[in-house]
Amino acid sequence: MTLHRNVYQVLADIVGHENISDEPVILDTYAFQWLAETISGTKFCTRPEAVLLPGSVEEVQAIIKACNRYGIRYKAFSTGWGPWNTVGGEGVIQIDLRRMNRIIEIDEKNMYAVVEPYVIGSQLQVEAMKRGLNCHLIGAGANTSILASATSMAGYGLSGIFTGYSNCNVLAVEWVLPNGEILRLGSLGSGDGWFCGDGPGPSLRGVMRGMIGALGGIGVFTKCGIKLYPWYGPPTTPIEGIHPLDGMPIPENFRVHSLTFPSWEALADAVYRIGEAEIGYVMGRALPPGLIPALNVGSASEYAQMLQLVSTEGMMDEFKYAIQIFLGANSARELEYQERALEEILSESGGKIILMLEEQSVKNILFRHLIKSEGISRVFQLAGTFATSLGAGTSWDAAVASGKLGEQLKRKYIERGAIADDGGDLAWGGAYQHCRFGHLEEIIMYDFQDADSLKGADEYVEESAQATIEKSLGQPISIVRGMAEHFGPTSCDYHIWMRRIKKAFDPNIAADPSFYIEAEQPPGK
Amino acid sequence: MTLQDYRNDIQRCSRCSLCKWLPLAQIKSWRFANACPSMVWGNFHAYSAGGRMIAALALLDGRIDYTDKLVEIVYQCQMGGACDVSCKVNRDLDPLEVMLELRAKCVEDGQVLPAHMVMIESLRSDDNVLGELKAERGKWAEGLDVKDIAKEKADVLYFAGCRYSFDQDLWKIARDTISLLKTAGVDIGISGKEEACCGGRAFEIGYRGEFTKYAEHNIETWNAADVRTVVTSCSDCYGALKFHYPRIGKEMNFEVLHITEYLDRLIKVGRLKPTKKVPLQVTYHDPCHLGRLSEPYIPWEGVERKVLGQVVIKDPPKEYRRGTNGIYQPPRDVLRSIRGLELVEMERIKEYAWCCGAGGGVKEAYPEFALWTADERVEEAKATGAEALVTSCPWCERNFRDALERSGAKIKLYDVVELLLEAL
Amino acid sequence: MSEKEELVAIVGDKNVFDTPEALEAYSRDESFVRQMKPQFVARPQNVDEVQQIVKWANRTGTPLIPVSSGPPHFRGDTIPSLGGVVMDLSRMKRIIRINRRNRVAMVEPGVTFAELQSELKKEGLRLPMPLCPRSSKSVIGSCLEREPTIIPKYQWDISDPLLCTEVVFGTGDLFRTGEAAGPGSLEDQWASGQAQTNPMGPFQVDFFRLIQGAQGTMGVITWATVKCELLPRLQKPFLVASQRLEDLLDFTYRLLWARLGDELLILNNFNLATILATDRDEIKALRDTLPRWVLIVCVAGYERLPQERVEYQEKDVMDTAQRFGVTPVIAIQGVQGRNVLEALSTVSAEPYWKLRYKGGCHDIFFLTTLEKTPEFITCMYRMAAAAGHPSTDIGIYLQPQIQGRACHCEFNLSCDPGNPKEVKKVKHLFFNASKELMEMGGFFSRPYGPWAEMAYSRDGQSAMALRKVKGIFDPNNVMNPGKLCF
Repeated sequence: MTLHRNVYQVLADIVGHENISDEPVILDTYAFQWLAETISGTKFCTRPEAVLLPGSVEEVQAIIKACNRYGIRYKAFSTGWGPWNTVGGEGVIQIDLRRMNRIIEIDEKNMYAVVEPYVIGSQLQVEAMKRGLNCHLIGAGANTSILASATSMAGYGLSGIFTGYSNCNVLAVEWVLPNGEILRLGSLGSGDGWFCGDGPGPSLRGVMRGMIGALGGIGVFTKCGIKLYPWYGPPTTPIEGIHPLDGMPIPENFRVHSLTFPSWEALADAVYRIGEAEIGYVMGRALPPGLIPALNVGSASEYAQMLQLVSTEGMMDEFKYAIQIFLGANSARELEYQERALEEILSESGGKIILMLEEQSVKNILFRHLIKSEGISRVFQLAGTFATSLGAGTSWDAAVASGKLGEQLKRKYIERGAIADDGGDLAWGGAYQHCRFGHLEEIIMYDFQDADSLKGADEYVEESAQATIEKSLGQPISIVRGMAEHFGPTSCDYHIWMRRIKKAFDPNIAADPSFYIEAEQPPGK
Repeated sequence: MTLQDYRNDIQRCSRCSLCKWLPLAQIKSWRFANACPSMVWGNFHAYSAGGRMIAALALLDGRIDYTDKLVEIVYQCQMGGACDVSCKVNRDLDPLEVMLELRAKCVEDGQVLPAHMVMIESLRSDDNVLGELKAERGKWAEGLDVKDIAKEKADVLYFAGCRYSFDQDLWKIARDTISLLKTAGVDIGISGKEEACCGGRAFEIGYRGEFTKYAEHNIETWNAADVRTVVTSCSDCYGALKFHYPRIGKEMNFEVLHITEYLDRLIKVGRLKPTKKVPLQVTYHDPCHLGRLSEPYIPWEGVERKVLGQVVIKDPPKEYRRGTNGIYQPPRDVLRSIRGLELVEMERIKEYAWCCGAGGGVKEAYPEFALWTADERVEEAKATGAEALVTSCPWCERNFRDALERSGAKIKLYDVVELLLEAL
Repeated sequence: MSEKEELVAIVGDKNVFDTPEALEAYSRDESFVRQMKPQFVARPQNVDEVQQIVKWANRTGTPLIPVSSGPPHFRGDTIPSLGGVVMDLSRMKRIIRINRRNRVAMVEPGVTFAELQSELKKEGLRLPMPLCPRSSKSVIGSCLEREPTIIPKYQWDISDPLLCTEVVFGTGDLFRTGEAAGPGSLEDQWASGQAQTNPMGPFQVDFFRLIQGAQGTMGVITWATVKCELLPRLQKPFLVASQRLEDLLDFTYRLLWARLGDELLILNNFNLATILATDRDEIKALRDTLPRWVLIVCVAGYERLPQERVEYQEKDVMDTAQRFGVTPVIAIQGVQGRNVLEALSTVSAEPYWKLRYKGGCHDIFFLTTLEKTPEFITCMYRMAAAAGHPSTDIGIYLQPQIQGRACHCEFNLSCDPGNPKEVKKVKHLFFNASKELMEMGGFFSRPYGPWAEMAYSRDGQSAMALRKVKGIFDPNNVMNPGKLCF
């Protein structure tokens, strides 16, 4: 389907001719995605009919109303990293929210900010830090949209022990509903500001998203209030050294350690105790054994050499049941308390500090990596791409069970050469809100340009998803089309309710449902 | 490597958009977080390095054909390479090389911009990209008592470059440079009107043939002249000599230095003594071609193979240019050697500096975009509170001048040489 | 079968009531909401009975009003607007599971704070509570109402401490929210190490948020997990007195930023006196000796290094206080911090503290941000003065929420229910002040009684969206019709 010229003109009149395009080259740059091959078999998903760059909520609203009027579907995104940003089929326009990029306000006293979609984590963080505040950054990286993570996607990040999870950090939201009406959640809807996203009465944040967001399927979010958290470091964080060995000097009221434990069970116990002690600013399995060598190397070749060296010299064992933890405190006394508490916990659980990672320059690198959340995307570097699996948000014990399961399931795929031999254990994640819940997702790295590797990766993801059902380990984190249909029947048929919500809020099915829920049950389901 | 050779790499782009931003750990404010002028100007993803790589893939795969829009996307970019630096923080990709190959392919396929054709015509007819007469090339040095290396041997050749040769507003800087070097007792010579373009701009806009011709000519001429050192004040030329010349595989029997490197050495060995105070607060703009684009080209030929099951490595290992070995410290040291001068840094510096806006054929083909890019940089300079913006490249200087004239922004503009001269 | 017979068939004849006295008890509460009698009161024992009742209500078109807490009620949400059947869940009193490791408890709706706290104590746990809840207050009822709790650092999300739930929607469908939805039964989940600690989902909808704050209009909760915390081994409460509220605010903000203290709230002299004293005269006397404003902050140590934790927290609190020119003390004007903490740590003794002064009380509460509270207080005083209601008799409670991002601002208007003139005056003040405070920017996120119309006329879009939600989960509008915007 090609967009009718009249409709194109209507849309162009809304955003301005310079902010809309249906040029094939432009369209292809929106069709191309990481993991596109899992949808279409090539690097390109379906082309959108046109790409629009609105500059305001009014323009977004006008676009959506036009879409409803003319029977066009739309798919909006912010930073757009991942195939869930692409359009789900023919006849869909893409709304790129790049031009809506302001930090509207930072309320220092009440510790929140209001942002537009194209404010990335790094931008908000540096502005917050100038004010003694920080924001939650997701593990994928601080190059992602704060708003998108809060309203539409997932939200795990390893500062989550202190800064929670994106869904819990969102306050009021400005939301253009699928039919083009503007809904302002919570206190904003009553004209009272951004400090609360809930009410009056039930919270419509419940419709906005769940553990995962609607990935474009329930309208477009144009502003949101987001919790900020205390930052006990300096207002600016200079980097020293040259990449990949650049580090962030650790402020005097922070401590950085990598800890190792004798077993998964001991690690699990220790994490629970860390949570109870209410210590920690960053904590989690930032460097599962397979990723340790990636910390300070520049290329895949160097990584491979380092991994081989580390494996040969038997160093992997030390990283097997390991976590990274940063302590951060407002006062020297508090820091001392945190350190003593950690010391006790280590003693009780048989854990110890990994001395080989205690070297100052290494710790500085780790500090930069995790405070700035800018290193995990190395998982793309090594084999070409990666996929994730398991990783439900659940109690820490169940998360650890997922970690163990992942390693077990991966083994045969490594043995058959389908996925990278990362040592078998790339379970990444942590425990959040002082360990009230956590997650461990098993990462696999594979070469999508190699048919056998792609096949093996697909099989592994499928097998691991099935395993989470069989072992009651929650719904897996990997996001594919039709997930609700697949997992709903195992979980109180939530997909039926989702479909009702979709139809109620989007009677014309204008918001692309491909990563949310289709209006009609697919045949055979 | 050809564009086709980069196909595997292109497909490995994960569309993370890191190419649009500074290396994340280096971001210091919301305002100055962007790395890519093209992306801020163009907004559609296609205008990023990642976007251009996708466009290249789409072209290779026959999904798209040439259109005005594609050509615009390819050329509306200063080729400053900030994207490349940011991408390589966590990737083994070469976005800048891909974009260079894409331009070469466009030229090969006859997809060129009229403004660039004018540059190349001028190059072909008069050995310069500015549409000037070759006969006028040496005029900048009239009256200067300096050797002509065609007639006399000199230790050091001063290569003026097209911009300094023909841009009369900037002649004083080139002339002052000669004076400085002579004051330091350097045995300096020039080529005058016999000088020919370095060919760097031609390379950047995709004209490989022209580039090769000029690179070969210059290397041969300078080898034959038996100069020990070729020093230039033009960062663009410097970048061409360091980054692109090694591509043609011709041995260069001379050291290439930028004037700031040379002056820094001279100061440190005491041959130049800045003693006068120059009370001024300045901020320094790192020219792309002196910084990240001056790292020497590292030839690589090899294959991809797999280890550890599916980890893709290059065999032999490929060394990546990440921009960290550019010339950043010498100009700063020169400035710091000047008493009374206070250097305050902008947020985007060194290998992640914001481009001045002039390079990659943009000044000629997209003048509005070039000026806007400069305006952005001027804003950043003003945000430091500095009284003056200092640079060390005539292309940066020209573009900043034009931008300041248009905007009326209140900040002075200097070349490093000008300030050093004041201090002597 | 008659309707009563049908209900008896579900819950048994001992659990269906229609005597005048029984119906009268559920027809009114302490609020100004219009009295309305239900036809029956039914008391189910388990989820099957609840589900059957809801299905029956759909078949017969009978309104259902779920009630978890015992009387007295204050909000008007349990009064049947259109008659129908009150579903009293107080028989569902199981504490199903307490999991120490994951600091979580699973309870049925009839479990009260006192009942739960005493069981939690055995496991070294506690549940953050609202301010001195009445003894009959249901834990689930409180959580569903999003009542503010007095330990703001534990409130990561305004929904805390509510976690997963089992719910019978208004359609009669049974559902579990959060990770409790599955895969697997609860037993399967427990076997895999899960403990129903993640309230989000399942998948792309946070179902629990649609039930919370709904005043029973979406469905009936039959169990919920709630987030518990470690019981302190050591506690040291401090009181910070001031005649000016403004002098306490920056200090409070700083405590929130530095994450110092557990219990953290501000009471005016009237409310503090009412909580501590037992009768009107005692309240008056104490109120008149207390400073106008008291910030209460308690530092605590838990199982690990409790002494050390209290020590560093205390010193940090003192350093911070010095910076802001305030003085935390352990007692003020004869009121010991210990006594205050004790009062805050348990349910209210009888009579319920809000009723001690005059026998009746009407609360006005809303959300704002802490620094704005003085403006609202000024407004309230002005309106009270205009209504001839002594400001000295107004209780004020300020509770930082969501770890300090918002502040619950509450005015308690004492009233003698036996004095019609006074009731009329207070009613007038209640309505007018509510309107005025709402106009000023107070966010009435919990729109009980007359606030519903006021709140939804300010936010028509939310009302429209909520009606869509209602149409999904209770299409026949059997669940507590007439409440909110339904």
